[in-house]
Amino acid sequence: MEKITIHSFIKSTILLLMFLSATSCSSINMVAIENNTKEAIIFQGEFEHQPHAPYNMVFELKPGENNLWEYELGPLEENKLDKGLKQITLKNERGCTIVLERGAIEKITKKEGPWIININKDVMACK
Amino acid sequence: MNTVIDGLTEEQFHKTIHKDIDKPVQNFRKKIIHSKYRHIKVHTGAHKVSWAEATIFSKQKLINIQVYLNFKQNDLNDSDYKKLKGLAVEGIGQYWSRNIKASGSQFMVRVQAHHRTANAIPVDLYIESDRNTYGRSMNPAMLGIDASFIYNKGYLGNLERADSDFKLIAAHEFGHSVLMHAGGLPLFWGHKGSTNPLTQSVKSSTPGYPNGAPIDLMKYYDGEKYGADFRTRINNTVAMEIDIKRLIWGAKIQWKK
Repeated sequence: MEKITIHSFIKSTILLLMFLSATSCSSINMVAIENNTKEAIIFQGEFEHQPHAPYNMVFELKPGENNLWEYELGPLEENKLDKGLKQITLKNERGCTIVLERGAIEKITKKEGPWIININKDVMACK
Repeated sequence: MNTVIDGLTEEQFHKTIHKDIDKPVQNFRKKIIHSKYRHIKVHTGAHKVSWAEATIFSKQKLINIQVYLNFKQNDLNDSDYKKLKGLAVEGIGQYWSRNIKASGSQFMVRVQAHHRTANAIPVDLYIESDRNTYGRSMNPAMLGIDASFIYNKGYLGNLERADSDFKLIAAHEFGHSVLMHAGGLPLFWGHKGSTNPLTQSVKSSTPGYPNGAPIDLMKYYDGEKYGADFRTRINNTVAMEIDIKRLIWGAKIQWKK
């Protein structure tokens, strides 16, 4: 019985150490999107992570509101904006629709803790 | 043991809970001779955790569960300690309270967390102020190692967001103690089969977040298959019925008419 206890203890300790070292490898990152305009906006993000099918994430942002999503980075990956994000479509109450491709999104994004996508009146400038 | 309320007896309720989570009703011991080791399987943690007590008001179909955590202050000042303790208590209550079905009856389960120094889950409370780091909370639920609940004040910036995140995290990490007691390492470290128990990475078979449906508090999802925004995760996450039953199974039970 004593042997079994020591055996179990060693096994559990090894498993625990592996668990602790493994969980410290990947890191949690977030992307926040802020509506800094005076109108409500419908946000639609298009994501694609190969080999999985693309999908859309849709939510409303009231004036001054923000929302975010989470993504994980491996230990050797460079910390950059969620690579799965391909395009965003923003619609406001006046029917103004803005489509931003990846390159345009990066131009209005900065890293302040999470990556922050700033939607202001310049971004929502419909002709 | 055979009190009958609306056709439901305590014994029936007891049997249903055990059956629903695939546990024997009676305590059992099983000896297995395997290679040169003799494994003695003693499996019944039924109603034996020191940190949970359930009172079942059978007539009212109400189950009150009191759970106890020993929140440690560490370097926090009194005000931060009080705030984090309050948020953790609120989060556990919010995400673990729900309706469940047992023996054909619907029960309202209300979970209330409390701070207690003895017979409680040990939890270290921390604040991560670094703006560039999201501190990962954990609960190994074994070997006397304290759980760590981390409030990400720096990374999340916005306090409302940090509060919501912390409440959800506290409820999830508390759940590790429930899963560990009911199912051991595979259930607990594997996040109910959704992650590799050692690397904690999601398995290839793990689905994306459910679209519009409840999100399982204790599972990991593959956000690369289908992601969920923060508000959806905060609002749609809930402890699953089976995990509530696992908590009841572990708790000391008092049956009231």
